[in-house]
Amino acid sequence: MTGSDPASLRELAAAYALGSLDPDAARLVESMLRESPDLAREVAEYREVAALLARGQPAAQPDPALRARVLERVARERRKAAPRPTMPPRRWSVGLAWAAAAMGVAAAAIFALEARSRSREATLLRATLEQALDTLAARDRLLETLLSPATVSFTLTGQRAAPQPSVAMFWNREQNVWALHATALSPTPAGRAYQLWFLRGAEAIPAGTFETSAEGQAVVVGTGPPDPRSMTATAVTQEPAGGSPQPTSTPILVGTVPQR
Amino acid sequence: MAAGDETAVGTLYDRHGASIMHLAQRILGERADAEEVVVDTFTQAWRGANRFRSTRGSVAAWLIVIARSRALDLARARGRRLRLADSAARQPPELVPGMAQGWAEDEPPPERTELYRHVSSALGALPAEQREAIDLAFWGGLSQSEIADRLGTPLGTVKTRIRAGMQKLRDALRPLYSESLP
Repeated sequence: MTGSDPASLRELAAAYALGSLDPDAARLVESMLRESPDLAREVAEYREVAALLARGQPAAQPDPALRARVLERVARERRKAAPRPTMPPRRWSVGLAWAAAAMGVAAAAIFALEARSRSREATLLRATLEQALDTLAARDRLLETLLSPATVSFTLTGQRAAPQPSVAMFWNREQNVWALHATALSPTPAGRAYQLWFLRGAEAIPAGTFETSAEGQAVVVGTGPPDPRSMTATAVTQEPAGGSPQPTSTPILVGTVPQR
Repeated sequence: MAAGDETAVGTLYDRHGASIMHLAQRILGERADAEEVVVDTFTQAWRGANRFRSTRGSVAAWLIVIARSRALDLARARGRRLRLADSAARQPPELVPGMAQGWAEDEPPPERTELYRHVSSALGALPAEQREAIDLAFWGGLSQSEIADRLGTPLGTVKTRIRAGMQKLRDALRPLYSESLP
């Protein structure tokens, strides 16, 4: 077998990319890919060459029904994968980008751009797309979670400022994932943040902080406290930016959790 | 819901479906098997989308790695691989637009015609024995030792042919992929 110094490994790169190395040699190359950027680069180049062997063939468009089969299978897979409760814990995403459709359009634009000019820009956009697909998949799972019959929805309201701020809360207590949508909640002064609380009688359990946009909007997602069914209400207070272990101000908004 | 995923897969399919079908059909021979590989490839790509890293190459190369390995697995399962290696080394099957049964009669898009011209001229410039070794490896799914056995050629010679041939292809085709790599 060829030794494992980088120069002789690079001799294996072409055969590796063609998938024609014997298993031992292939494993050796694989194990070195991470450590040797030169080798990884070489393999990546030869993979492109191998891909061109397949792409540079006079292939006609397949039967249109095949496209429908591909999309149908993906849709079926997605339905199977949907009920996974995989929201990352304590990851606060703020924003209003529920735009699944827009994401699809972005993907189409990127691949179209790639087709026209193999530009650096396309490479960058592709990296963005990876992220977007990732985010999109997480959002899909969240939406499925929140649209489940296990979800209760209720509104937190206040008495003070006009226009009336409100927070719509969606909480799937089986999977213990919640999302809130705040409207007309003025941005906090510097050094302050809104904090969400789960209340069990007089006990307040902190659930993280968030900020609103200039328009007073926020969408926040998180996981709920242990024993979600024992919670009777949720509240929002204004706290120092890092949040407090216990509320230090009167709640601005309070909402009762429906008991069902 | 999740229209985004399907739009993205649809876009990928429109761009790469024809190449992948061609690849699968050339490896497998049977159209029904090839179609199954196409469906599996895009499903697997959808599942693995968040593992795809553009720093490691183009979307096309990623899809083709997936498709080729699925097609070869299926060919092995069908016990068909060695027989196909024979035809792989000879010629692509009759996949000229409109000729094969069940294929739409569309013209391939101009971009593909352009690729075809480049790739066939690069392949045409290789010595026959280098091209044969590369074809047996890529389309036939044979390892270098299997190629050596098959051709009755020393293993070292096969390795040299593959390496030299791939180097020439790389130099000739670099303008087609250089922007896909960082």
